[in-house]
Amino acid sequence: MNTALPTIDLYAVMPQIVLVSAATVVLIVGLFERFRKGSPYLSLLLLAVSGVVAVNQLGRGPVAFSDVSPMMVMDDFSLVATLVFIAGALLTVLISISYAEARSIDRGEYYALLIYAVSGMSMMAASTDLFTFFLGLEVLSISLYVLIGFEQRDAGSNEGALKYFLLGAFASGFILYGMALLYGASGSTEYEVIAKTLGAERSDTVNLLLLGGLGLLLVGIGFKISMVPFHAWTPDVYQGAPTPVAAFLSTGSKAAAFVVLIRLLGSVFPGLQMEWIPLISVLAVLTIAVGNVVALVQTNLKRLLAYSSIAHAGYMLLPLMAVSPDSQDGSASIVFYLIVYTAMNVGAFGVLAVLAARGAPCATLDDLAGLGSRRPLVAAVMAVVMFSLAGIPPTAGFMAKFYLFRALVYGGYVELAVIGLLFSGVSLYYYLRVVVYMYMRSAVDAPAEAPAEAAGRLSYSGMTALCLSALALLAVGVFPSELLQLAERAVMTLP
Amino acid sequence: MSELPFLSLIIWLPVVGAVLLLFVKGDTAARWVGFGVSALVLVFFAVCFGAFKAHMGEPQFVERMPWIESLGVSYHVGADGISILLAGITALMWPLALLGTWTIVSERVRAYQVFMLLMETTLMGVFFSLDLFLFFLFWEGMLIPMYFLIGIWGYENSARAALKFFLFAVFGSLLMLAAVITLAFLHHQVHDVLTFEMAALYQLSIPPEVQFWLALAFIAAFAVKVPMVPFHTWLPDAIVLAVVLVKMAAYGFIRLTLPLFPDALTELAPLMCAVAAAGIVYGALIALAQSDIRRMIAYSTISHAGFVVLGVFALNQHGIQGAVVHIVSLALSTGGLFLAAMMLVQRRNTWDMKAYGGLWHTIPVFSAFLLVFTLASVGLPGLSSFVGEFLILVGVFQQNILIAAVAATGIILAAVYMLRMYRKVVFGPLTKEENRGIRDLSFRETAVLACMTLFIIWIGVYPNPFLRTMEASVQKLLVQTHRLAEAPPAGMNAAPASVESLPMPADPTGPGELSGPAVPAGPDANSEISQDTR
Repeated sequence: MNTALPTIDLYAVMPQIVLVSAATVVLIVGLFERFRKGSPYLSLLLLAVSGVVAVNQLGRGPVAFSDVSPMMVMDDFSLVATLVFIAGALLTVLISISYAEARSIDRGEYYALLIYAVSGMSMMAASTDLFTFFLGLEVLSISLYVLIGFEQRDAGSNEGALKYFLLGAFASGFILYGMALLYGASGSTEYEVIAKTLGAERSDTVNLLLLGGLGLLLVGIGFKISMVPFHAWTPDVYQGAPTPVAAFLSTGSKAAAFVVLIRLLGSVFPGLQMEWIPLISVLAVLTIAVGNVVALVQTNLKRLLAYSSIAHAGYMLLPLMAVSPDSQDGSASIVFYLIVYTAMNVGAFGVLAVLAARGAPCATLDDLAGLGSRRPLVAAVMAVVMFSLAGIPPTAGFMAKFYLFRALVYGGYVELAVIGLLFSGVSLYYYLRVVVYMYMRSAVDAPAEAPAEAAGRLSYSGMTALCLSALALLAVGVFPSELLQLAERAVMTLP
Repeated sequence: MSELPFLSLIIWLPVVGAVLLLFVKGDTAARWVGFGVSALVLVFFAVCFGAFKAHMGEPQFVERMPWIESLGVSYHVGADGISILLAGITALMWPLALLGTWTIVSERVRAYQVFMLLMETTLMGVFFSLDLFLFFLFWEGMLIPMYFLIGIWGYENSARAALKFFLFAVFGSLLMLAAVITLAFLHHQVHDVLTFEMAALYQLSIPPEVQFWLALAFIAAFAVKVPMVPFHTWLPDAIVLAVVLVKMAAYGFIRLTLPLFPDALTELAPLMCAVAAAGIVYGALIALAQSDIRRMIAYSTISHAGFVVLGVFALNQHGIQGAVVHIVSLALSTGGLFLAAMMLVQRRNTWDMKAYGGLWHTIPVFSAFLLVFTLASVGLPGLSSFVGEFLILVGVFQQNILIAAVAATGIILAAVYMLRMYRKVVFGPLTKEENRGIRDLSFRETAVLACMTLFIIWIGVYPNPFLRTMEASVQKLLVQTHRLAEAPPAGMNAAPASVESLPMPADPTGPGELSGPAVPAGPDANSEISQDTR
């Protein structure tokens, strides 16, 4: 008996390897007090390197990690997703620098954990096996638990971390249980085998197991993307977490969960479409409704953004219905939306982080009053981001929404598209309220804190990130072609 | 076809100006840049207008390049007779408005100029777009500059007004967006081609019941902005831009609703006419009760907008030509009225009619101009509004006498509220001491108002050039709407001679052309467009 070891292609996991090593290097270098100040810049460099590695592998066709059981596949889809995560992390690092200094949390671990989280997300994106999916998920989650509670002296930060940890642990439990059921039904953790089981004749028991497994997976993933009714943690955690971490949480971890969802629902569970389409459509509409309606009455900015991110998760759930083996429009529109959404949300949280780093209070809408005349550039960035979140041309947010609702209409779900569009009209109210406060109200108690704030120049790194995201939003809003093609290419390799 | 991409220049020059303004220091310099750029646009437009061939119904100066290929969207602009007139009045009004508000806007001058220029771009874009997606982009993008213009430089309660306007407008547009996507989808289903070309979408035959809903979605978007009763409640708070919006929304009706949904119109057009007529009377009656000049102008705009919609949905040559002329004249008369009122308010700081009186003695030049604009709004023969209102009523009479009769009362009411306002403000004894030392118009202000007066009289006395410019285009539009049933009416004394001299097709198909998607102009239209683009 010759038990040949399976051939392993390290090339397939190159971006993950680079990311994990990068994080480790940052962690070690951060231990030395004299290099501590350098760790954000080192992280920027190493993230950029891993980005280059990923770009380099684009378009080479799917490469499986191992030929016996693929575990992970490096295809355009996972590469594009990885690039989105890296871009989000780069922006997060940029807005973190001055914020972390101001809150004295500028330690090497902070940046290392951020990069570990990216590697976990990248793993999730590339996984074609329940094991690797779970592995990536846990790497991501554990990094996030620590990052959310990174401001040890801040009660809110601790509260957020505990909340996210408790609920996250439950979510992981649900996912594991679901995986167990799926394994029971198909005898394998491989996506491909599970999909085959679905395609074949199946007994009632198997059917029940599969359904139960999918349901439990959806609960766990729903928690990560803050889908109603698993969204309740979102505002508290975003409010408590350090602002750059909230930015990362609302973009990266959500994007990773969506990427997994596309793979699972699009290529593993199309056989159960009859069952999950009604479920997802109801939950998506609920998510949109709850997010948008509750956001209307928020006065705390981070909570407002939290509910807005819930609503956006709802929009992104909609095109999942339109995903079918013969049309990848739906998946492409989600990928495009994720890219744009990352730029928008990092921009919005970034404004808060950059202002907070200078000691300016920016917790509530009132704190933004008169920002248009005090900080014209920051206010302009915020305005662009708000218009983009609201989906008004010529910003990328409009293109993303257009592309998304188009996929929905082409998939035959006109009613859902109309519901989604109407709720996005509702959302205008709270996005514009931010703009109203910035430009059309003068600060009431301005004299008290104006001098101190005016003295501080905003950090270059933070402003770079803000300007980059605002310019990107405008550029993509006017010339979306390249990015659309990228999104379309990304989903082409999906089975 | 021409050496320079004129339309793109007209559309994008203001953006260049806006970017330039970011590097300009000082209020006066900013004013000059804003005015200079919009004047330059006017010059380009004049050149363009000079080269325009009025006998062609097809879009001219066409530019087309691929833009977002994976969605089938192209950058496709062109001007036909209708769009060139509306763009023309925009190009004319912009430098005048900037000059007129030279000192009225005294805070955040630079930002004001930036947003005004950005709005000019989006307006021109709306008028020249031949691609539905492009149209929607400009249409929706316009909300941003408008929102800031209302919110920052509006009058009291402006932030709330801006928000209200935005929400109203967006709900309408979002429904339209759904309809736009659906249209492209239907086209894709039938022809397997991804496109948002208006010309291609016109040829689409859509089941009537689907048409009905799509038409409603489009109408919702336009009706909010016209504004039609009952979607008008944002207007009195945000009057600043009313005239601009009427122009755009009516253009939307003409360019999209009519040719896209011919079957739905048989049901919807009478309804729209009735609502429009009701709006005319409603707006006029409320205007009658106002003592605030601004609110009176706002409600009179609602009333006038009713005329425009009425003309459009009369669905005949006179109605549509009248509507377009009326839009142009509204920009001049209502725009002039509002500008003059702003100049007065700048001096006295109140909109209340009762605070004035006896101005004839102190500021005669101003009073004379105000008289012209007032009479123009009333519809005095010889001034611009008369031509538009007359043509509209002629058009409507051919459709429905009752509605025309109701609408005509609006003109009478307009005379009542307008002249009442004029009497209170200008005539009578000079009772208020504050009005004694009031300054008359400066040279700059006189020049602006004189320029508008000139056009008001020109259109009123000799409207032929304007009517001739759009004749061929309106005819083509009506062919697309499959409704060229009206015979040229004889004996129109006040109406322009050119209407009679125009080569009306001799009604070859008779009333039968209503049935089925007969596309007489279809293949021709397409081939000519594609020739243009080569």
